[in-house]
Amino acid sequence: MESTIWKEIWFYIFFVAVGLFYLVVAVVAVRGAGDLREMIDNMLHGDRNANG
Amino acid sequence: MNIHWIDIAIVVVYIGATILAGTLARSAIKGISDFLVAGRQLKTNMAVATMVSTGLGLVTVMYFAQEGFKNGFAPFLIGVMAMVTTMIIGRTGFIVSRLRHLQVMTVPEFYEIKFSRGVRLLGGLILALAGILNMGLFPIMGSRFVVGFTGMDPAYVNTVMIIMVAIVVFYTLMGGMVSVVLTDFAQFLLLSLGFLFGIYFILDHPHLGWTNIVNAIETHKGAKGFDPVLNPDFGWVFIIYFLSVGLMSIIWQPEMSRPLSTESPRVARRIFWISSATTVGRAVVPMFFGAAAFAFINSPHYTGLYANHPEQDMFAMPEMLSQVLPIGIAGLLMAGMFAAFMSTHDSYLLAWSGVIVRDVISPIKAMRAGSAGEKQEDGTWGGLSSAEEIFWTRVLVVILAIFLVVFGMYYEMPETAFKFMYITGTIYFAGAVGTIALGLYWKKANKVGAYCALILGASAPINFLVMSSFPEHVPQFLAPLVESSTWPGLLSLILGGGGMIVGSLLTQKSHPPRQLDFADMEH
Repeated sequence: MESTIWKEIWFYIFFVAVGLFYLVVAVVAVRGAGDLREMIDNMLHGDRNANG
Repeated sequence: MNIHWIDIAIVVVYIGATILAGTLARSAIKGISDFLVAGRQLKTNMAVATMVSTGLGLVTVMYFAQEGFKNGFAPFLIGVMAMVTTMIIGRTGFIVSRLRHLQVMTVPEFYEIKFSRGVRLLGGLILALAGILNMGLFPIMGSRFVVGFTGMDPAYVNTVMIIMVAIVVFYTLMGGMVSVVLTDFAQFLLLSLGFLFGIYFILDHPHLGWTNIVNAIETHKGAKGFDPVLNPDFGWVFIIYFLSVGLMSIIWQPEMSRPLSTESPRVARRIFWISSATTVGRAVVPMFFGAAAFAFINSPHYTGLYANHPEQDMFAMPEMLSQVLPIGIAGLLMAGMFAAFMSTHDSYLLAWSGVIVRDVISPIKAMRAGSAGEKQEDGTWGGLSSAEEIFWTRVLVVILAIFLVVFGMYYEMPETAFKFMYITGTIYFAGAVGTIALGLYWKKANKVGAYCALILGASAPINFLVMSSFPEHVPQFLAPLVESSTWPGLLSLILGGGGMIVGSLLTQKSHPPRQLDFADMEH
């Protein structure tokens, strides 16, 4: 394949990949903070997961 | 020094907060399952954050940047392939769902359930050997980043390494997996933010920007800087090898400890599906930084320290970032990178120490005591008690840290850091093709096949590491096994899978396989 085509491919892959990465980061950062607080509360109060 | 006191202050505040969090986490540790798998409390989002963080350590950033520096944009293919394998696992639950269903804490624990205690012992030894060798370059690479970024004299690289490792050891000893989860989350936020600023300021820089970087790669590297098939460091054999290892790399203990820490097999599978959207970004952003560093160091405006340095592929990226980023943002990225250093080291130290204690020391003690080898309520197997396992895991964390510092000072890798990571990991992955993939999904898999898979799978990569240290003594006909790690890597996967199939089929009557029941597994 021509290197010009590879350049085009990597250009689009780079910016789409960055977009996807930050989409997940934004969602997980907001929701994960609640999970983290709950997990620490559970551990400090000795509440164990019933699933083992 | 390249960086301002405000940047240093940001890093110091972060380190202080981390040490405080690690100390507080100690109170949450009540048993070995808290210490190794955070009491299996991880929910989906938290598990994604912590898994992405482990896969985005400072070492990962450094070795991907090194690939970008040496090979331009061609290694972007690695990120695309990683996304494909992660998506397959996320959709099918391949391996992860079944291992989580069996409620194991370490991967070799599965060997005792499916095969025998002896297989667990051998598997634990091989996994620990592969893992510790694989981690051998982590501290020195982290230290090189700090030295390159701050503009310190490279002579201080070992001193910086010792200080960084000491901080990691302290808080890992305190809080185990709880500490790991806390620092992972901090890293997830800090490094993501730092990356975003890094991309912006590189693209906006008058001597860099996308066009200047592409032109620099084209001028100095030609088509192989873009075409991964044409590039001799990659090619079809590497692509096949990487896709195969990619599917198996989930059973790498530090990676697998995340799904094993989730609240159910369903969550274990889902975190792979969600995190697959981040895999390309996690690879291509550091590779882009490496390519930008290459353009930076070859620019006529370059006035830095590494124009003719033999390890410029390691030092150029952090130096470039420190020059490009403004005050405050540099400190943020540095704190993010330090968090990345810590989160990878604590994960790995904990994972390998846990494997040695639970899968080597504890089974030996159980065998000597004549224990039946049944899982106890506290998650132990009749060898060491839960408290003893925590104690010995902590001792091993310290011993491994000392080993890593010494290894980092004296070992010289044969290829790029990325290739070193993959070939050392393959010592274990290759055997795991047979023992875990076939052990979980093939009813005829038995313990003789497992021994064959583990031994044969480990042989080719160990052979490569030994022979590549003494290339002058290698006979000519074995040269292809030393010139590149790709062929030994692929060969070991074939040997590992083939060993299980042949060994099991030949001994079905003398060693009937144990059957596992997944009928009630949550999908």
